[in-house]
Amino acid sequence: MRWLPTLLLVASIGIQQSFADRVLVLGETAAVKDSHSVFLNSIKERGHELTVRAADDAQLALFKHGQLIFDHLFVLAPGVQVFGGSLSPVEISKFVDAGGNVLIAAGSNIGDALREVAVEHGFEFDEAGTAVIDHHNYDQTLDAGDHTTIVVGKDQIISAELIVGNAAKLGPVLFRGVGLVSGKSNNLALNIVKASGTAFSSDPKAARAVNPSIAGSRTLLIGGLQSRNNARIVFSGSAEFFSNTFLASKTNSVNPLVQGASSGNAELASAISKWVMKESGVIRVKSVNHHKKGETVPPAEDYFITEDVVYTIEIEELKNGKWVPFQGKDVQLEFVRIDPFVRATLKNNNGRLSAAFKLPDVLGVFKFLVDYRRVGYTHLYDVQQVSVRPLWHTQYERFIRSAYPYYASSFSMMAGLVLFSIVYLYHKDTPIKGAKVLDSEKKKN
Amino acid sequence: MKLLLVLGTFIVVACAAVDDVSISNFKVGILAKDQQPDAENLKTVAIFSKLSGELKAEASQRLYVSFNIAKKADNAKVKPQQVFLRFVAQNGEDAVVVVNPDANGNYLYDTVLRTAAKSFHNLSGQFKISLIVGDVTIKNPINWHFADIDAALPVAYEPTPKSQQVRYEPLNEITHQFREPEKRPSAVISDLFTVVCLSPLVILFGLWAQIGINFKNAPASPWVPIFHIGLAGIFGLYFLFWVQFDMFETLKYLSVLGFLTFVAGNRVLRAISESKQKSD
Amino acid sequence: MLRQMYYHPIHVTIFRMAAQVVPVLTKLFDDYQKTTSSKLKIIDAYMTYILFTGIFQFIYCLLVGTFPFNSFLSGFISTVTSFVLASCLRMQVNQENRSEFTAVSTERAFADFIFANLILHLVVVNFLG
Repeated sequence: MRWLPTLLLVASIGIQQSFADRVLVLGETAAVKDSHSVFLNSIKERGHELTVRAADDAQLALFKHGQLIFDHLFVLAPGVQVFGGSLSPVEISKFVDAGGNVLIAAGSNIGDALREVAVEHGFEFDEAGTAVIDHHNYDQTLDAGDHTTIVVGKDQIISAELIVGNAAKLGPVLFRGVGLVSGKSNNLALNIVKASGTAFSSDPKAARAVNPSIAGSRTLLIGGLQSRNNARIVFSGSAEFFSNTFLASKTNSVNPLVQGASSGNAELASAISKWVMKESGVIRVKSVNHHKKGETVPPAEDYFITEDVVYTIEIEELKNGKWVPFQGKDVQLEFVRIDPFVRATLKNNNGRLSAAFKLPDVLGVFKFLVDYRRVGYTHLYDVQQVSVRPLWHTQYERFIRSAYPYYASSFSMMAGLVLFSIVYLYHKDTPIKGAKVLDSEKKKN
Repeated sequence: MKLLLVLGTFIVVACAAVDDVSISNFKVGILAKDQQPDAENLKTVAIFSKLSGELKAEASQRLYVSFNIAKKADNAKVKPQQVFLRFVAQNGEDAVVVVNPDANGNYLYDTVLRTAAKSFHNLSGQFKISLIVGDVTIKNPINWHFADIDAALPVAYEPTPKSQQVRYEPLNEITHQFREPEKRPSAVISDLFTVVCLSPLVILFGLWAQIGINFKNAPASPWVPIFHIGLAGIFGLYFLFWVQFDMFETLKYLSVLGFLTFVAGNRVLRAISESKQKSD
Repeated sequence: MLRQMYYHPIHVTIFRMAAQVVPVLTKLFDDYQKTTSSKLKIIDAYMTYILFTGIFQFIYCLLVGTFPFNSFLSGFISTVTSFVLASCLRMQVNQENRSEFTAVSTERAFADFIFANLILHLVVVNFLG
């Protein structure tokens, strides 16, 4: 397949120049740049800087003076027992915490270092010496006789275009390596490629699979996760998945339902690498605004209860190296004071998402919360805190029709008083027959 | 290099003895804890057909599956690498258990479901059971869905705390239920009662007319009209206060009007008092 | 009377009691007409007017509910307090009570009455809403 690199070069001309990221690629030896040259060149053609080293190179480092030297780490060295230089599973965890993305590819000769890295991030590789075996789905041409070279069908691939591209158009995918399983409490795990129901993980030389700890579709061939700081990690059970051999092969599955075709490894590897390197599925907030209906900026004073407000957020997505308006239709806004009082789906107008609603008639300190988490996208979390105040005493309704009798009575009392004073003051009293005249009055007279 | 690899694989494949196998004597059933398996509670299933009807099992019962695997060519029993029972739940997740051969090479699975459920990853309910047989030496690996089962398995409920939950789908929309505004009477009733509340004025005039009023005690002072106009003016100011002014403006005007009315009233009362003393 | 209640049915007893109350009321009314000076009657008429205004407001509130509660209170208390002030005036200017109010002349009583009313109505309007 000599034309494949040329094809990729031509394709890459159509791709806009993405940011030049620095990638550290580790192989068992530096010869990985030959055995995986097609895959690595495809990354170089997207404009990134690759540094290829052996995994036990004594000069390895991810940090210098507390700063990241590399943006991404690819480990295509299954057998490494101990990393060289300052690299270690702990260092790799620090790298992820600092925002670096990691791609780990293992194999049946997996070393302790990679098993430790996987455990740190909620996955577990099976032991060294085991492989994923599938007697129903092995490749008849490439398999060495122990049915460990398996062909993966489209239904085993996660349906997330951001991570794997268009899975429907993908050819069958070749895999040979160790099995992976996600931890029970790993809520963020993504099952990128699952094994088929007839697969299991075991030592291929064992006469009987006595107690396969990993069997059925729980077995993951490629698993990944996006950690809470949006750093992406992908664990592949097979480094050969990315190799030139598999990228160039045609598949020949023993399963008659899977047609032989060019392997889909190249497209799948390219899509996964784009996802890991944050070239796809990256969104960010451009601006946020909230205001009363009819105004354009947040009020100088706080909001009052039952006011009409409008909330606008602009979200951008990174596509081919450029930030374009995000077209998602399912972003939701929550108006929360401990529990959400209002949850509305934002209307998308080419990247400007907005919602209008009436504030609840409850006082307190609320948040306009946008918490957008979808498979493949970075986690978007935006909080705007506002206070909602009770009405001032001058803002209540006045001159209510049903209170007219009370208004009328009050003013009629006043009118009555004026009339009374006129009538009373100047009235000459008529003396009463037989009334008692007190002595004091008599004295006055 | 690639050609050599392909050739080598071809040779290896050609050299390995690869046979067809088949399953025979396949029996499946649900037994109570101490029941012996016999022809009454086990059903025989022909290969690649499905058991009619659904098996129903409680956690205390046993699932009993027995069969033989033999080469088609000479009926010799074999022990393939992979002999599994796969249970697929309704949500697509599956659980796999191994079937072991006994001393005679017959395959038997006989386990209390409660014990088996420990490796079922908290699945319960309806399952499709398949038998999976595979080995490097088997030319026709078997993946045979032979029965459905409805098993009430014990499930360990471990709720994730809300802060740890990860949800990828949009949630239900919530609109706030506002307090119902209080019901108001219709405008007709309010207007009616406005008139009713003003009607005592009529009663007042009627009573006063009946009593007979006179203005004989009115002193001939110019302060008299000033006082009453001042009083009426104060109430007019109060009306403006209700409609428009705030307290500070009202008090401002009130101080002026009030002083005026006070002085006038003082003079009027003094005049009345003097005229009363004069007449006595 | 009690013996009558024992021997006769209840409606007859009530009728007989009513028959005894009516002459009492008539006599009360006639005495009132004869012994009260017209100036006091003027005050009494004013007080009756205030009383009815208050009663009608209260009936309205019972019928339709207390919705603008501040308006109801304002209107109702306006009538109640006006009634109280008018009754204070009546007490102080009644010649029969002269011995009690030696320090307060009738003019002073009227001045106090007007002053208190002015404060009352300022407060009423403030609360009326």
